Formats: sequence, structure tokens, C-alpha cells
Amino acid sequence: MKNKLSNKFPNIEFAEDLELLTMTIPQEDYLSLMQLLRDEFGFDYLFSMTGMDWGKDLGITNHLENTNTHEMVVVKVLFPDRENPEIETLEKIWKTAHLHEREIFDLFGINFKGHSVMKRIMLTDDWEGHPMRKDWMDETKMIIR
Amino acid sequence: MILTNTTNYFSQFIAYFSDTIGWGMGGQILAYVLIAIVYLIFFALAGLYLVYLERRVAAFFQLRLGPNRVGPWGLMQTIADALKLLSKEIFGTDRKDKLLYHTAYYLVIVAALISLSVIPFSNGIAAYDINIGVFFISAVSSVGILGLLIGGWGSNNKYGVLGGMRSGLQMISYELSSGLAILTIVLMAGSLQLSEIIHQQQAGWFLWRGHIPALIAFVIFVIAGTAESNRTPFDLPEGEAELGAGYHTEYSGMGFAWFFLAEFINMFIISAVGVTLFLGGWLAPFGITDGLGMPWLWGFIWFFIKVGLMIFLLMWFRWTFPRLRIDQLLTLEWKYLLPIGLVNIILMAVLVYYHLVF
Amino acid sequence: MEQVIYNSADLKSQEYFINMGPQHPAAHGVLRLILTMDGEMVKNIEPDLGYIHRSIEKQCEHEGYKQIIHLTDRLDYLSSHMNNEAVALAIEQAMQIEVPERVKVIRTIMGELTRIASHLLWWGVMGMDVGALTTFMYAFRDREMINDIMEETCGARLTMSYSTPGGVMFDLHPNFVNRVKEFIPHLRSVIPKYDELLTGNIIFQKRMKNVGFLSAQDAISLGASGPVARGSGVSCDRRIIEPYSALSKVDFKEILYQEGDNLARYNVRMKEMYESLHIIEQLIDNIPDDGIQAKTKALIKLPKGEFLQRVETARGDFGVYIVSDGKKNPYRVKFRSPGFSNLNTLMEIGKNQLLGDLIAISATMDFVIPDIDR
Repeated sequence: MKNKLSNKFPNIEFAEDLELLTMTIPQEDYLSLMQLLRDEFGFDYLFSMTGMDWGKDLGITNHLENTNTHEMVVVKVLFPDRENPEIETLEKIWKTAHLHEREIFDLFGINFKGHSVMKRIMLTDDWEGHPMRKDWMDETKMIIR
Repeated sequence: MILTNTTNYFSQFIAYFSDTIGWGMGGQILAYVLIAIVYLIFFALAGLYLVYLERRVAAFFQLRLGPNRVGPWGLMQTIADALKLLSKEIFGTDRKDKLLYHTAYYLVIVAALISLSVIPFSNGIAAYDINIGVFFISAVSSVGILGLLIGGWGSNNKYGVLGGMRSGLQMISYELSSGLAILTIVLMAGSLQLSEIIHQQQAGWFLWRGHIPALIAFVIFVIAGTAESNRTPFDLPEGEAELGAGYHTEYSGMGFAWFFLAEFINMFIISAVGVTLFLGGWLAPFGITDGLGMPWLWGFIWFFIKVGLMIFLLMWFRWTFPRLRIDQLLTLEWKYLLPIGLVNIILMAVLVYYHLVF
Repeated sequence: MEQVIYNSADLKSQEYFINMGPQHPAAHGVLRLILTMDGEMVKNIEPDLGYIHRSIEKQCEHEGYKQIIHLTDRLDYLSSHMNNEAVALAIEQAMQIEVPERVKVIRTIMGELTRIASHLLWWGVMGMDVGALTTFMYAFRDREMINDIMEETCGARLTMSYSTPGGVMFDLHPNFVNRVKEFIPHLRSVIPKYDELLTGNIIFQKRMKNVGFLSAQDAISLGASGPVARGSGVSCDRRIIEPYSALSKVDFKEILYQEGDNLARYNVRMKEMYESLHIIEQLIDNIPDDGIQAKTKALIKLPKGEFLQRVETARGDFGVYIVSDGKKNPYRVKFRSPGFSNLNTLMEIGKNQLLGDLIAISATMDFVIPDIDR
């Protein structure tokens, strides 16, 4: 599977030291990789989408599961551009991505192209900033030890 | 006004009172007012104690104790609640239609109270014993629907509108069935006067004498009656899980209390009409207390025992059944109860024509 | 006079919005659904979350690993023990701590008791949502017994925080085994009564059957898990797929229904209570006696890496995803809560349903709002 994917996507990187099969994919190949994983490798269950702030880059970590074999893969995508991170939506592949992507948009400020309702879901519409980012500070509401 | 020739203690009282006081028409009116006040006080208390009973019965079904702190066995609980509601601020939206909003609960409670006036509580005790009593009740209780509708509409609340619409839909539909069930009995009795219907049952309750069609009519009447009094399984107008509080969402304090009280008095009316038509009203079963003297007192006792049982039945429904869905509610009425009721009334007509009823 | 003939297609009704929640009797918490309605028909569901959003994930970034467990109670407070367990397992997996057998058994028993308590509460409010008010009291009477058992051992009735990395907080109370043994036959005897009261009721059956259909394919695509997915025939019980704690030692069935309607989801939960009792029965008699705490350092530091632990809570597949950079605080914690994905399921299958049906469907989804908002 690793070879197949490397052949198809030359820019894919596999992490070595993690328990689950973890791959990092450039933004432009993201949608086609996810589609391929679902259609060919049977990873039909989008377990979770996690927004990440890696300090320098923003990122999304997707956990996929194959509901027949119960294998899991992790697909990561990074956004070096912290100001306007943007990527295609997975809504058309997995319906569950709808809410997950809205949450990530709300808390990390990653924009999803083609998403049906790209609005904040947790916070109010007039909230400034994206609180789950590492550089987000609120002196009155946060206590940091 | 058409009064019958049978003894009516109220008309006797009115005649006696106006004669004694001697103001002519004025004395008569004063007598009416006095009777009305007695009825009002009695039914304010009856409504409150029905609420108390409901809570105790609910507690009985739900393995709880229910109200038991205010007064002996919690008997003063609902009175305390009513006082609390009276003293509460009337809190509502500004954007309501003031006229409709405030008319609504009066319509509901007045309709409920007027219906009470024709019900015979005992031999010769009915405030207004007219020869079209049954018809009068169904006519007046329909006015109550209007109250719910305009209450929901006037409060300018979507839950209210939905609840009001649902109640209109439901009560108008089920009025047909309960009307047919009543007619089935009227066919047997040949009279619309409630006291006359009871007198006819001295030979045996209509539920027994009318056998199959009367039994079917009784079942239909209980179902339709539950629906008309907006109680579970037909409590869609206020279905709290769906609509918050339905048509009375925007009402608070006494406005809400009127709706609440009217619901319980309606339940009483439904039970009273059911008892009068099917279960012999204030007549003792098999005449077991006929020779014991004080017939009006025994009439009271038997009437309230029977009505109490009917009310218990309705409460039993409420605390066991889940709620119907709106389309199921209409299916039940228009596809089942109404055709059955129609066939039933024809069956009854045939039986009466060939003297096949007891 | 000109006659006007109305065509029913010309008579358009106006769509309108109603807010279901944030304070609504049928939303078990502060869930706000903005419904687009056409008469009684729900055309679209738009959730507005965040009324109880405390950003627990962000808080976790500033707490040590031992403290995180206490925050997870506040996610899905009805399966708090399973949430605790998930984090504890994730930390143990990362640090390769071997916990004593006793701890494993205790955790499993506690987890199943919590599951029963959660399902009981669900059954009660489910009845309330469809208008049967008595169910609530019945369910709470029996749930109270579990809470009492929990209170004796864990010191808390709802948010137990009983699991710690490497073990459990306290040893079992001396009464524990006896009380659990009393409880099992009691619940076995009352669930048939529940069925008599609600399940068998004709109105209830009509409300539930063929309503809120969710196909297996959709369930997977919508990320449904737990009883919601199992009601559609998707085998997804983490307890079987990847047995954790003492679950590998017990024998139990995964409840699967193929219908995918409300009744199937209802039945899954009702049957699951029996299975949970069965699990407890197998473990309660011989709880091993080898300590309640593995040796751990006072300050837990996870090695650098990413760790995922999934457990089956009462609501479904709960995942803890910890990214560690080797410090005493996690770099990022993600709680994948089953309710969040199940809410997406409701948004999909609740469309074009009557308002009453939407309530019934959301009741069978068994939401706990802090679980969705986090």
C-alpha cells in the first residue's frame, strides 16, 4: 500500500516512528488521496478530523478507518500559510466532514473550499481570532501555569 | 328558556328567592348571580383539587409520593400554587396582539364553565336544565377551541401558533367523533335533555342497554374525549417535548392558570358527559341506595364516584401512553374513528327501530 | 362571476424558522437547532453549538496528564468512566505501563455499570420525548442504585474520575461486590417491565417503526458510531474489535439490528443492557487481587509521538488523540466524541420529517450536549 501510494503521489511522506500508518500529503494532492483511500483501500470511515497548530504550520490530521478490517491510517496535511490556509472540503466524500470541518474552521481558521455552510459553529459569528491556535491569547479568560 | 316539568331545585330556588325578595326581574337576576357564584367557587376548588388528584395519581404511577407537605396529605398544595400564580408578574412579549391574547383565556374558561351549567349533578340539580342539553354542551365547548386558537395566534410565538393550529385541527376533528358517539345514545334516549337521558336509564345504563353499539360508542367517546381535553396521548397542542408549551407558551401567571384550570374542568366535563350518557349519571348502580332517603345526596355521591373513576381512567392514559404524531392523530380520527362511528350510529338506529336494545 | 380554481401546487406555504433550544424540554442540554419548517415538516436543521463549549481540548494543553482525566468527566458526563478509561489507556499505552489485572477487571465492571446507567437514563428521557412521562421515574429509580454503588467506591455519583494512569483511584468498597450482585437480578427483572410499559405500546411502536431510517452506508459516511450505527447493522463495537481492559476475557455478543430505524436503535440499547449485565456477571465473582495501581512516576511525561486510543462509550466510539512533544503537558489533545458525529447524522436523517419525528429521532441518538460541544 505504501508503495502504491508513493508511486501515485511522489510527494507523500510516511512517518517512521508512529504506531499507525501516518502520511503527510501536500495540499494539492489531498482530495485525490482521500478519495483514493476511500475508493480503493476501503477506508470508508472518517473517524475524526483534528485541527493542529504545529507552531510554524497549521495542519489537519485525519484518522481514517476501514470498517471491514478495522485498520487505520492517518493523513496529515500542513499549511505553511498561517494567514489564509485553504483546502478542499471532504464533505462530498464523507458527510461527517461537514461538522468536523466547521469546527476546524471555527477554532483554527482553516478555510474549506466548497463546503456548504462555512460558518462558525462553536463561537459567535463576531468572534475575533481562532482560539485553538497556539498563538491565541486571552489574558482575562486564560490561566496559564 | 325551556324548563322541563321534572323537579329542578335550582328553578325552585330562583322562584322562591325572587318571590321573597320581591324585586320582580331583579330578584331573579340576583338569584342567577348567586347560583353562578356558587358554581364558580365550587369549580375553582374542583379544578384545583383535580390538579391535586392528578399529581397524586401521577405520583402513584411513578413510584413517588406527590405533594404531601402543604396541609394534611398536601391538600393545600394546589391552593398555594394558585395563590403563587395569582401573585406572579404577568410576563409576556410586547409584540402580542393584546386583544386576542387577553381574550383567549377568558374564552377558554368561560366556555368550560358554561358547559358545566347543564350537567345534572344529582336528581334535579342542574343550573340550567334545557331540553337540548347535549347539543348545548358540544356547541359551547367548541368555543373553547377558538380560545386556544387565538391564544396561540395572538401571542405572536411560533410554538404558540403551531400549538394553536394543532389544537384546532385536533379538537375540530375529534368533535365529530364525540358528537357521533353522543348521537348514538341520543338515538336510544330520544331526547337531548341530560336529566331526561338519566331518567331513562333507570331501567339500566345505556352502556348495558345499548350493548354492542353503545359499547363502541363509549370507547369512541373516551378516545375523542381524551383528545378534546388535550391530554396524553393526544397532548400535541402543548406537546412539551416538541413545542415547549404549545399555545400557552407566552402566558404566565394567571393567564396560564386559566388555561391550566380550563383543561382540568374540561376533563371533568368530558367525564361528566360520559357518565351521564353511558353510566347512568347520578343513578345508583342497581338502585342499591334508592330506599335510604336523601336521594339528592346519594345522587351526588354516585355521580362523583363515577366521574372520579372516569377521570382516573383519563389520568391513567396520561401517565402510561406516549404521544401520537400529528399525522397518526388525524389518521386515527378520519380513517378509523369517524367511519366506525358512522356505521355504529346506523347500527344503533336499526337496533332501536327493531327494538333490539334492552 | 368568474370562478377561481385553485391548484394545490400554486398554494405555497411560507417556510419559517423555529429555534429548538438552547433551552428546550426535548434537547437534553443546551443544544440549539435552528429548524427551517414548512408547516409541521422540518426542511433543514442547522445546529448552533457552543452553549457549553469550554474548550476542554485547549485546557488540556495547559494541564498535566493526570489532570486531564478529570476534565474528561465533563465531556460526556453519562459515560464519564469510559472517558476516564480512554485517557488512562492512552497514557498507559504511550508509556507502556502494564496495569494489574485487578485494575482491568474493575475498570471493565465500572465501565459496564456506567453504560447501564447511561442507557437507563436514555430510556427515561426517550420516553419523555415521545410523551410517556412515567418512564423517567422508573429509569431513575434503577439508575439510582448504580449511582449509590458508584458513590461508595468512587466517592462521586456522576463525574467519577476513578481511573488514573496506571490504575484506579481507590480500592473497591467492601460492599461493592454484594451490591452489584443484588443489582444484576434486580435489573433483569425490571427491564421486562420497561418493555411492558413502553416498548410494547402500540403508539410507541407506530412512532418508532420505519421512522428516521439510516442506511448502513450513510451511517458509515456520516461517522455514526455506537448504538446508532449498530441499529443500522454496522458492526463497530470497539469492545469486540479491539478488546481493552478485561474485555478480552469475557464473552458477549454485539447487538446488531439491520432495520436502521428508530426502533432498531432503541432495541440495540435495550439489549445492550443485558449484555452489560452479562459481562459484569462473568467478572464480579473473581476479581483478581494484585493491587490497584501500577508503579508510575509522580510526574508523567509521555514520550514524543502521537497516540490514539478508542473506547466504546455508551454513545459510541470515543477517541482520544494525544500529540506529545515530550513535555509534561500534551502538545495537543483531541477528543473525538461520538455525539459530534451523531449530530451530523441527525442533521441528515432529520430532514423532511415531521417535528414530532425529529424529536423521536434525536431521542434515539441519545445526545449529551457537553459531549458535542466539548
